[in-house]
Amino acid sequence: MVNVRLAKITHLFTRRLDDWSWFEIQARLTGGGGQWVTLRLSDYSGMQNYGYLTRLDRILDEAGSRERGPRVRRDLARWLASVHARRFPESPTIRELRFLRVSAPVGAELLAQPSGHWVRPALEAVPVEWVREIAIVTDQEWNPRASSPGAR
Amino acid sequence: MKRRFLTTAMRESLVAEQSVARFRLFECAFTVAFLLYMGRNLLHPMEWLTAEGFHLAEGLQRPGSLPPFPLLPSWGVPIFTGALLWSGWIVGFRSRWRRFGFGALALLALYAEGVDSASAFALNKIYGAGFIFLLFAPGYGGNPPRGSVMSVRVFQMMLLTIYFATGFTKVYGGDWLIHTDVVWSHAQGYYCTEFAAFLLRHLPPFGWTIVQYSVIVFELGAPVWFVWRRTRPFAILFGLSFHLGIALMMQAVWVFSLQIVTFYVLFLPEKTAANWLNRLTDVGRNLLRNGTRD
Repeated sequence: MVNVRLAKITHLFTRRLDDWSWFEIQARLTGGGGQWVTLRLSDYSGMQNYGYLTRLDRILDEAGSRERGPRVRRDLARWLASVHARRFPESPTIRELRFLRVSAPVGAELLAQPSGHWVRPALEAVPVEWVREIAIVTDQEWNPRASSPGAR
Repeated sequence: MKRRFLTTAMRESLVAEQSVARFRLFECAFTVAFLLYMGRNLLHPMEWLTAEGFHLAEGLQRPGSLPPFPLLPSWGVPIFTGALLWSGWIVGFRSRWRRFGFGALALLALYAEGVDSASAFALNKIYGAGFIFLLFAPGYGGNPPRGSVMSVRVFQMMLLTIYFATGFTKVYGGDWLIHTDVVWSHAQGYYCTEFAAFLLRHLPPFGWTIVQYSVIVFELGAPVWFVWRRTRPFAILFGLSFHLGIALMMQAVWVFSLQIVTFYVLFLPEKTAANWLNRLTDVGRNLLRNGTRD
């Protein structure tokens, strides 16, 4: 009990890590032929306060619970779609977003023998067994008035 | 006789009035560190403080977070920045009115914690608690400043408690005594800087283990290392290297290292602190004088 209270104040790196994980978000765009396109979160959040990751990465990382996670992802999907439309007016609109979690085991060459500071590896470059699909959020969920998936 | 001696010694070391130059120095250092931390966030003010950034709705923050505070309109950002600078200026240059500065800084620290849980860390809590104590701390006056040593002791105790608690949770509940490669596992991943990458490539496994055990010995023993006069210089040297190491090895964590290092001025000899304070006061006066002339 005492330990739990202390840990709340000072829980700094108390356990050995088995892996380092981060989120990737992919989008399906209108007229994109069903292809998933990986979004660069730094295009939407310039605040890099979570190591080399952004504030949005931290939000996703901490939204792991079953109760909060789906709501956070839906709100974030709505926000990303609207910011995407505003910042990239030439680009097709976002219709679906897929949240993936990449878990790289410590000791893997990418982590344990890095050639320089950490750089988010391309999704295509990491082994498939490291990648897990967390959820897909469609525009039906963040904007119920959007056209049905079949009409895309 | 013995009891009276102990009571007197206790009073002398805990509440007696004496020179508190190091406390004044700490007030300034702690405030500057907070302003730098806020300044880092203010590089992206609209994302951080306004509806332009993504913010979690009520109930979606991580457990234990404050309920979300209202976001600022864009015109509120310069006011927020101005309030930070004004408070810092009061603390640094208008010592007599410093309590107004600390009151404002406590409110600003609280707002920074509540407005965006995604950019708030453990150090926000330390700043909040620190400014609240500075607001109500016993007063001092004169040059060099004299006042109750209790203020110094409270913040010294705060640092030693933080160190001891972090060491304790690493050993009891954590697994720093179970595995020998805990630090090595933390050096990887998205905090890994160029320097950490160099160490990962070149430091042999036993080197990481030595670092791990030396951290535990330092943190758990901090109340002894810092209080005992003979070990204090070594504790300060080790602690400074420890925090420099963290700042160099972990991207974006320098703000935490800087915050903790400000507590170290409380362990300086009073004479050294008084010299530093005089020099800083001269620099501040010259800056103000030149600024007014321009």
